[in-house]
Amino acid sequence: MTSPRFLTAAVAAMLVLAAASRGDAADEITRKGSAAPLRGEITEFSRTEVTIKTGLRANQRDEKVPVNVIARIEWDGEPSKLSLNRNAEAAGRYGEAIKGYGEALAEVPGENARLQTDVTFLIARATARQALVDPPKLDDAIAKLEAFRSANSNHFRHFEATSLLGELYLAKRDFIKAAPIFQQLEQAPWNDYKMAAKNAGGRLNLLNDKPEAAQADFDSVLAIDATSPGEVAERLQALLGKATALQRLGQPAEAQQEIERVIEQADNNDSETLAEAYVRLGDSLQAQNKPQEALVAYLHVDVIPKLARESQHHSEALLHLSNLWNAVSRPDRAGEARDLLMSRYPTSDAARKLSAPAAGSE
Amino acid sequence: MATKHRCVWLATLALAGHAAASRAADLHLELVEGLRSRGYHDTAVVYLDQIENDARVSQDVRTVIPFERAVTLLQSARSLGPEARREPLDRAQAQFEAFTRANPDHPLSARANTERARILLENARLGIWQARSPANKGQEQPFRDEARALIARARTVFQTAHDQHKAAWEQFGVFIPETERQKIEARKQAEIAYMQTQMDLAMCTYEEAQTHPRDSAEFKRLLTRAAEDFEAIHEKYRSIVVGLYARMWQAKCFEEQGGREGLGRALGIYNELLGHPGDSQTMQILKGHVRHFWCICQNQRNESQLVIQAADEWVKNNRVWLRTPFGIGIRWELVQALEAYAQDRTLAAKDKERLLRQALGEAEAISRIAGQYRDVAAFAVPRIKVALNIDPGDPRDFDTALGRGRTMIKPGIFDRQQAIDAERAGQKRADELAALERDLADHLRETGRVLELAVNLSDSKTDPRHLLEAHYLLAYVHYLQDRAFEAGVLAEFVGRKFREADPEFALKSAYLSMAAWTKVYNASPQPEDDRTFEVDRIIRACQLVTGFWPQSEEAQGARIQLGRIFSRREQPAEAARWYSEVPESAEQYAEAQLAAGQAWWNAYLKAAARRDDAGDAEQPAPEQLDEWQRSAEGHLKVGIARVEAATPKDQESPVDLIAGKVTMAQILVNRGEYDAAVKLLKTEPHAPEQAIQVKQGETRPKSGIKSPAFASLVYQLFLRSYVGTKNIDEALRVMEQLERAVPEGDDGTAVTAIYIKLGRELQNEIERLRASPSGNRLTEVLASFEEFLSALTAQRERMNYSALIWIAETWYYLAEGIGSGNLRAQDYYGRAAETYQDILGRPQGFVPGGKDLGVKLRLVNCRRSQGEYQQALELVGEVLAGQPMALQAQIEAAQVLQSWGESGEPEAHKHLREAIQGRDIGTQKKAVWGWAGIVRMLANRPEYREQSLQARYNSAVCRRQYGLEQSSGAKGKAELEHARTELEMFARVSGPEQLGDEWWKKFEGMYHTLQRDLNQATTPLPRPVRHQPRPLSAVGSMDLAARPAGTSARLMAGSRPRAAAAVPVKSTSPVLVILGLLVAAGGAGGIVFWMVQSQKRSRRPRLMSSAIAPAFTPPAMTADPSRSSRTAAPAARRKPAVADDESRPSTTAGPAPAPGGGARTRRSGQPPASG
Repeated sequence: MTSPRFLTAAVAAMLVLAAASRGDAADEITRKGSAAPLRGEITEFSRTEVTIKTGLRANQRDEKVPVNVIARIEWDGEPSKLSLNRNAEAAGRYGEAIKGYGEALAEVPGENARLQTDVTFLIARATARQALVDPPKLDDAIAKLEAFRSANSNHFRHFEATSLLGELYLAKRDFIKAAPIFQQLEQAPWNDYKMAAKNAGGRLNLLNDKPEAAQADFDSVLAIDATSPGEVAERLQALLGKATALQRLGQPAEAQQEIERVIEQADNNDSETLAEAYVRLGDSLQAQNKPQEALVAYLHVDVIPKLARESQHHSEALLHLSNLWNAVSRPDRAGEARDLLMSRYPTSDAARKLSAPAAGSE
Repeated sequence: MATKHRCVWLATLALAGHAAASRAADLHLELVEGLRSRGYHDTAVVYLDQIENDARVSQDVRTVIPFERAVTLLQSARSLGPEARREPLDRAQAQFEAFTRANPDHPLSARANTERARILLENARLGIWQARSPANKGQEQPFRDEARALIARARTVFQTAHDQHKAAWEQFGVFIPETERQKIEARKQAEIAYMQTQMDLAMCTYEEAQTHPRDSAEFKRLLTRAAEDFEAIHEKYRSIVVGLYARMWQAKCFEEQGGREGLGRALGIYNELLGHPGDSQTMQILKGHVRHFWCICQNQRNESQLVIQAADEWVKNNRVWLRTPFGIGIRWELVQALEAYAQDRTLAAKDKERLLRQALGEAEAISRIAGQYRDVAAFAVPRIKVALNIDPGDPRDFDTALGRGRTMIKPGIFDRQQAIDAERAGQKRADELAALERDLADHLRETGRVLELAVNLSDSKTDPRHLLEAHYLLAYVHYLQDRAFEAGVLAEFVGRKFREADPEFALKSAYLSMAAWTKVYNASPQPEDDRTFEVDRIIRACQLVTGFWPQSEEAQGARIQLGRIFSRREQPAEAARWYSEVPESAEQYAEAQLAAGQAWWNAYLKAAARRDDAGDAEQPAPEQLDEWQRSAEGHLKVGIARVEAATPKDQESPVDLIAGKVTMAQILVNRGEYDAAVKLLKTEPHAPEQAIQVKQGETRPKSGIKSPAFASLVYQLFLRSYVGTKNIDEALRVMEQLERAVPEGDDGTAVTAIYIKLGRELQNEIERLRASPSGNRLTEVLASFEEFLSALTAQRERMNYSALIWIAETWYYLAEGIGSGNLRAQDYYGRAAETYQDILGRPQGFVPGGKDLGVKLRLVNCRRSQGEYQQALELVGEVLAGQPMALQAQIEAAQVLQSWGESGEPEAHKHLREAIQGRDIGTQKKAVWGWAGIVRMLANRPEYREQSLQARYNSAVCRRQYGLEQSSGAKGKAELEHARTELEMFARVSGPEQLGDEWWKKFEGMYHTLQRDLNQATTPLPRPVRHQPRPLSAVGSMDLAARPAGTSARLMAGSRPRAAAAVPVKSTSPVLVILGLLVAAGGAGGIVFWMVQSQKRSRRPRLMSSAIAPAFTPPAMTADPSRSSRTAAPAARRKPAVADDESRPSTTAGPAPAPGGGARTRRSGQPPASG
């Protein structure tokens, strides 16, 4: 028979454990590829790692988490709406997220500088993502990220900010500024960031109409052994880049093969890669004069909600759908796609292309 | 006089189409027009830029390039929203101006002026819209001023154009002899242009009125003037469409003047126009505009219920016009009426909500469409939301959203579907049913939104199984909404990518994708042969199921489905393999065995029919053919035994069983085992001979084993067997039964068709036997037929028309079967011709009315096959003298000339040129059109696509042969180069998508041959210039009301009787129809197979019954499976239910899989187990 005293002690122990696991100081780090977050107190951070004190009070230990594996950080005492706004950002509702972050920032007490800085970054990040589908906002987004980087050069968001900044310069076709930014990214101590920098180099070459050079860049990434989730994701990006290069070189069927590999290998949650892959697949199928198959490829990005969050790819997919629905005798659906593009992404490149009059001389 | 002639000539050139200036011009401008018609405006502009400075392009073409560029920009602009439209319109205007400035006397100058003015007027309309936009309240005046200035400029240009067009029209004078068709056509076009400018001027006045405030005196004064102008036009042209448009605008002017009187007069005219009997497309568009104005009028009279009823009905019946300006206008009026009616205090809260929800849905849709109503609709959306008191807060986490989504499906969707079911069963009023259906549609839309929200709220902590469920449910909602593409894409993605998260759910999803792609297939407007893409998607989904879940019950359904698909694709061996894979343990084993047997047999027949094609690399070896025949027999035996054992003797014979037996009888007939075939067909229980009987006096059903088609098939097998055993008495008796089984109508066409088909089957059989290593059977069969036919021929005096046709056709096909070079074949052709001549020589009335033509053409065909070309030509000339526009006769004439040209007779090659260009016969000028003439005549006649393509191809064949026959190398080379260029230009505007793979390959093959003849490197046949995807101009080009004179052809069409078409739309000769069918049917193989194919072509093809839908049950509903299967059924019924016999290729002649095409439906509505 179990003694009542033992029972009482066991219950008490469980309560203590529960409290500890929730954490007295409940900062929370979610790592890529891991469902179980680390809870505790973030005690310090640098460009490359974040230190969190976890465990029971009696057995606390510092865990150093490399920045490249961090998927998300939630702070102790953060305004409750912050989490909702992170979801809005992830869902591509950038305007809502930016507004919400701003309101949350106003609620953060002045003494909580760490949280204030992070929310400032979140605003810059959401602005940057918004600008990628709303080019008139590019300058504002660049200014915010530049300001963040210069004020927080040793922050754990540094490399993420650098990467985003490079993307913005690419979108602005300011290759002169983009190139050194990606070189800085290559200085990161992790393979996935190095791979990302090389991939960016490949994209730069694509934008400069040098598909052979781009293919070489992407091949150099593919030569790297990829094991971590971040590395695998970059490897897939390289495959996509290579497919684009192949397509530019007039080899759409080969491009299609590479893209189908990406779709097969990509993680279900890697919506960015999948969305881009389906758009590229549609491109290669169009180049092979298979409009109906291309329609289905693009439609993935419109129909699968997580892929439709990827605004840039979604707008591009809608641009094509607004034409390709006609291939299956559905002009009404072509019109719907067009309306959605014009109403959801009115200032995107895709909308601009849709509205642009036919090119030609006078 | 000379000046007058010049003017007429210029007008003719301009109005009949400047593209006719030269062949080179034809090609360049044809290409541009082709690009424009496909919406490739940017590519068209690029092409025009390219040729503008190309010295090889004629000056005629280069002169009109600014004009063509402007037309292209104009069309491009019409596909854009108002904001984006301005720039291309301005550029188009600049191009028109440049053109008229440089070529003031050019015949196109008047049209350029008109177009310029229309652009000005269009820009003025944009200003008027902006002045009325709620967003510009208080800032209207600048927009109004600008619009008024633009209208004034437009009027000046229109007036100039009006005078020019009037002068051009008057130049033609009153009388033109009927023989001068081109001139008559040109005068008609000139009159249209003149009418258009009259309308344009009146529209200027109307639009000018719109630039003034509605309560101003100027507004009313201008409207009155416009109404008078429109009335004058209506008086002049009341019997044609332009007059009706003028009438409509006159009413519009009354309506806008307001007051009871104004509205009453307007409504009177609108009702008069809506009651017009015309239903051509032109009239539908006109009525669409009128309905729009009618709704505006009724809303002003506060008759919101009337508007709701009329607009709802219009929306339901005119989905194709929903996005046109008048379609959007009607929908906007509907929104206003719904909102107004919802204010009625006597309404129940539920009804009020339903009205507002519908209004919200429409307003949201309109607010996304660029145009006049976007702004006002966008303003309405929040207003309606407030009235609905909705959006208090969407779920903020995944679990809540998913939970809400589940509830919205069950009971939400299920209850609504049940209510609709009950309403249908009770045969309630159509409007009540429509209201429920609308409610369901709104609810489905909202459910989809919530589920999408759920997915978007998921994060890394979300249970993957729940995430999968949310995706699955969303796909299911898409499916119910008839958004089958979306359902297919999403369900397939989930089935493929999430299979590790929850295999069972992923399987459901994969199976749902099968159903969704099948729905896409069934809904496709493409002809069945052009649905490769849809079929590929179904195959992909089926293979997903069979690949990852091979043992599942769903996989068996998928295998049957794959078998069916490959049968339809005429890949019977592949079909047979899939059927054969259904394991013995599966419920569908017996039916799969029967289907496999039939498929193997079809594979055998198909391959055997190709045996004379020596170069066919895919030709199976003889051993393989034997193996297929054995497999067919083996599977059929198993299937027949299984089904027979499971069917009580006194029960009605199952379709599958009878079809299996009939196929088996075919195998026996093919082997010459005629007695065994007769025994199988006669032996009870479940004898096909009995199964096809109907009670005396009873009409045979249209489908199934008692149908005329199936019964005749059985009698044909009997007939074939009795011919084989030379049993003339039994054969004649069976022929009588056959004639009784097939409804004759007045003309005996059906039986004739069967006899002709039997002849063709015989040809196939002869060809197979010719290819067979053993020649004995061929000799035996030929002897048998010859003896039989000779005996019949001896008795021909007492035979009717159908029987004689059979004799003639059988001789003919016997000859075809053994090959025209053979002496025996020549004898048979002669006997066929003799029989046709006998038919034609019978007393009047012997040949059913209108069929002489067909018989004569068959006689021509025989003479041609005999090499008696002169006689054949004279015969066809006689036909053409009586019916110069008979397409089939024209084709036969060209064919005679081609065959003659290819005959190798001295100087015969000149007939090749005649075959292309046509020739005179006797005093008839150009009595024979030739292949090129046929192509021209069939331009823009999609119903004659095949004939047109064949004519184009034959033209190339003839030209090549003619080139090769030339003694002069340069001349020959020029002909070859001409043929090559023609193909290239044709391909540039057509492409494989339009032509289909088969035709594209054929043309490309000819292109390569020509390149080799010319010692050129072979290159792929150029495809249409690749374009950057741009929107098609579907909406803009229909905007007749906004541009009342914009589409000239439509204005002349409609109420005035159409001018005689150049080519008869339909041949009046049923024999011709039969012959056409024969050509279409091809010669793939056996009788059962032929029947399947012919049915396939005659019905709307469906691969899988939509009864599959009830089998899909969302996981949350498994607690009450009986209910779920019941309630899912309406979804399947929203589309017309798919009859079982339509869903299966083999219904009448082969095994019959379960209705619903799979394992599930056998279990009478039991949903699949779900997690």
